[in-house]
Amino acid sequence: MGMDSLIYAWRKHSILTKKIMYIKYKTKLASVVAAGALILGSCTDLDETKLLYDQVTADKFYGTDLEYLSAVGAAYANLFGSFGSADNIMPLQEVSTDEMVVPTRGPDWGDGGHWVRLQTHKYNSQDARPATTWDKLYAGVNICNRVLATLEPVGTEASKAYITELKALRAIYYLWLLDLFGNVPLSTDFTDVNPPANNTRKEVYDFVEKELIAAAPLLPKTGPADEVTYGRVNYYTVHTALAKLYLNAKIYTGTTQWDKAIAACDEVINSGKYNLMASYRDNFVKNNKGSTESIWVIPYDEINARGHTIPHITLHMESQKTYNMSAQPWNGFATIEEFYESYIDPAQNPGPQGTVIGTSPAGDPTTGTLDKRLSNFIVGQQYLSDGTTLLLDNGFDATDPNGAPLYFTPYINQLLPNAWRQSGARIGKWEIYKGNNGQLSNDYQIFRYADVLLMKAEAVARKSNNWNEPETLTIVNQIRTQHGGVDPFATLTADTFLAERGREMFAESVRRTDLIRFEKYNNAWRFHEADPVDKLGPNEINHLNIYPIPAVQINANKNLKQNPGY
Amino acid sequence: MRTRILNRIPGIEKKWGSALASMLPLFFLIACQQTPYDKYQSLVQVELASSHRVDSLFLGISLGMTPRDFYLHCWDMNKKGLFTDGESNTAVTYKLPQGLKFPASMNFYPEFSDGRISRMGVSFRYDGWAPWNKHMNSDSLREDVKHLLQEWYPKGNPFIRMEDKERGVIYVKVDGNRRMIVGCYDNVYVKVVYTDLSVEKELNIN
Repeated sequence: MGMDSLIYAWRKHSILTKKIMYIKYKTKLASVVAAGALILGSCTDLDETKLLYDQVTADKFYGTDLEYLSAVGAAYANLFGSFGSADNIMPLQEVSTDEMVVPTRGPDWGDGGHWVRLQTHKYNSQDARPATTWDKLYAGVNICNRVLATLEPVGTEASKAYITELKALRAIYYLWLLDLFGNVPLSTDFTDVNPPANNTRKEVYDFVEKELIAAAPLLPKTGPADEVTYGRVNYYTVHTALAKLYLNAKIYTGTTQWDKAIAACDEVINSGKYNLMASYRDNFVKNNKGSTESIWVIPYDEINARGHTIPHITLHMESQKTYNMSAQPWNGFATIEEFYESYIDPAQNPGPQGTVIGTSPAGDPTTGTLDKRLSNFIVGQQYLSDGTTLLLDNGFDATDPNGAPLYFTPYINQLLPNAWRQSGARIGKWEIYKGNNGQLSNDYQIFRYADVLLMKAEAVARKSNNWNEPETLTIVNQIRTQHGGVDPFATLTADTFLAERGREMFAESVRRTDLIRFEKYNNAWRFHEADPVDKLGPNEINHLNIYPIPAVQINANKNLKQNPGY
Repeated sequence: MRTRILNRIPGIEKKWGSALASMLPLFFLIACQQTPYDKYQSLVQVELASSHRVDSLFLGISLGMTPRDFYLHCWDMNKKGLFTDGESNTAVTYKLPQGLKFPASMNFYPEFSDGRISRMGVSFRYDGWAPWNKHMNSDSLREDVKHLLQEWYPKGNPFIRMEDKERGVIYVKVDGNRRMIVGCYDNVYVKVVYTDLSVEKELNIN
């Protein structure tokens, strides 16, 4: 379970603001630090009122760019923990798929069964993760609405620019709501007190599209190296969001939009602002700010901008000694054996062969494909921080063939109730550096250039109903060779394309949406039986392909109807 | 009561305490003109001078706890199904079984000084909050939380109400070394900050 400072979480608004301020206004850093010192340092005089509040009034604010950023920063700060943690979007997008699982390891990670229900698609309206994610996303909408309500009367050119940015950000919050929950209420007026009814998924789609299109031309065409907009929504962020909207338009509305998806991707690709990194791994290292693939990131910091909790949620308790962590990990998230196998199996992923950790119960070394993207996982024998002394797990399971030496096996013996403590390939995508506190300072790419390329490749193939379109093959093979160091494909199918997309985008919170689009989400895989067929969801999709609206929300608003089938 | 308090102040002999007690009506008159903030300051001085320790917080957690004790306690409560991982895995969540007008949760996590809990931040939120459920906004919740805390801490000094034109109402309660402040963080959350004033005092001296 999560054990970190809520104080920091509460201060997150001012912290992101400070970070953005630092990014944009290095010369004003001294005053920002001074302001921060005032906030943090004056307590016994009851100046904690400054800690308690996050409210601004238009008449006394918005005199300077710093003040604008301070207000707008709150809407971004809400993203901390949305991706890269066990709490929000990431588990809904990953743990419900063939890519990630949270096994119940004896007394650990039982949590009332909601992790198992995510994996087995038995989720219900009382479950924790749909509820926390709903809350997180509407909290973002609320902050946007609140700040917009104070900005709109200001009427300056500066205020108009921030209004545009906030409306685009709000549209992206709605894009995620649209994808996860479908028929969500559109709330855009902070002063509106009428409990709304659901909007249809199509209405939400239309709103997102309209708002993004309206915002795009007014936003800066900056690139990943432009510090002014690092971590903020710009022209290319909006077009990436549009590409995602259009790529999934058939699911959302029943109508395909391949041409629009291609056009949105082209806005990003043809800008020349972004490039594939020579090294896949460099996208995810601690200091990844220089990544040329970063279209939009959450600028995490393990002290001041917390919420990237991968070490906590994936590593074994004893891994604390490998990474000299100041906090003990919780031994939870892992990938599923077959997904790991899709990297090392030469039939699925041809490329140079060598010794890799295999999928036997003991994780015996075997010969397999040396895809550079195997850095996505932590497998095999684990060591103390000296890198040579075996790390021991004295609480090992009696039936675990590896015994006390801590050895991460891609094989997971069962989903529940007694998955071996050491079983499961762990998430190593983001560099877990020594001395971390369970959180990471690696920025999380919400939108990454490789994803845009793959969306373009897919849209082109789907438009012509031909997975061997030259442009599609070229893009896929560029990514395979450059990032994976593996052999190019001569031909593609929908399945091989999806597998390639999986290898590239592992853990980047897109898998559920991908499986739905490829009509695989309701299929069987290890730990997940095929879902019963129904057409209860919007546009006759399976009702499980959108999450239930949290029961507490239904109870609090008589106009709100539960999604069909729940 | 007041004589006892006066006698707690270091350097005040018992006889002087009695003499001062005879001047209480004058103090009352002055007190009537005190602002809430003055009252708060006076209360802090008196309570800190008393050396009276009040460490209890909630749900078995107290000021002065070591990180290890805190983690073990939370782990134990987690196994009992009472505590879960909190917002964005950066806090502990406890769903309040009762006591507020609507189902609500509290998220908390302490700060440590010299290996002991010296401060605890808690945020309360109605679970059913949504942008359109204005009756679940923090201004309603704040009063609800204050009443809940009065039930949790029936003894000691009452809450002092303070009002700020821009920031609204906050409530402060000081008992011995323990201070709690209740206020709206934004239109969603009510934030309660517990502070060990004896640690704060030490930090300020150093």
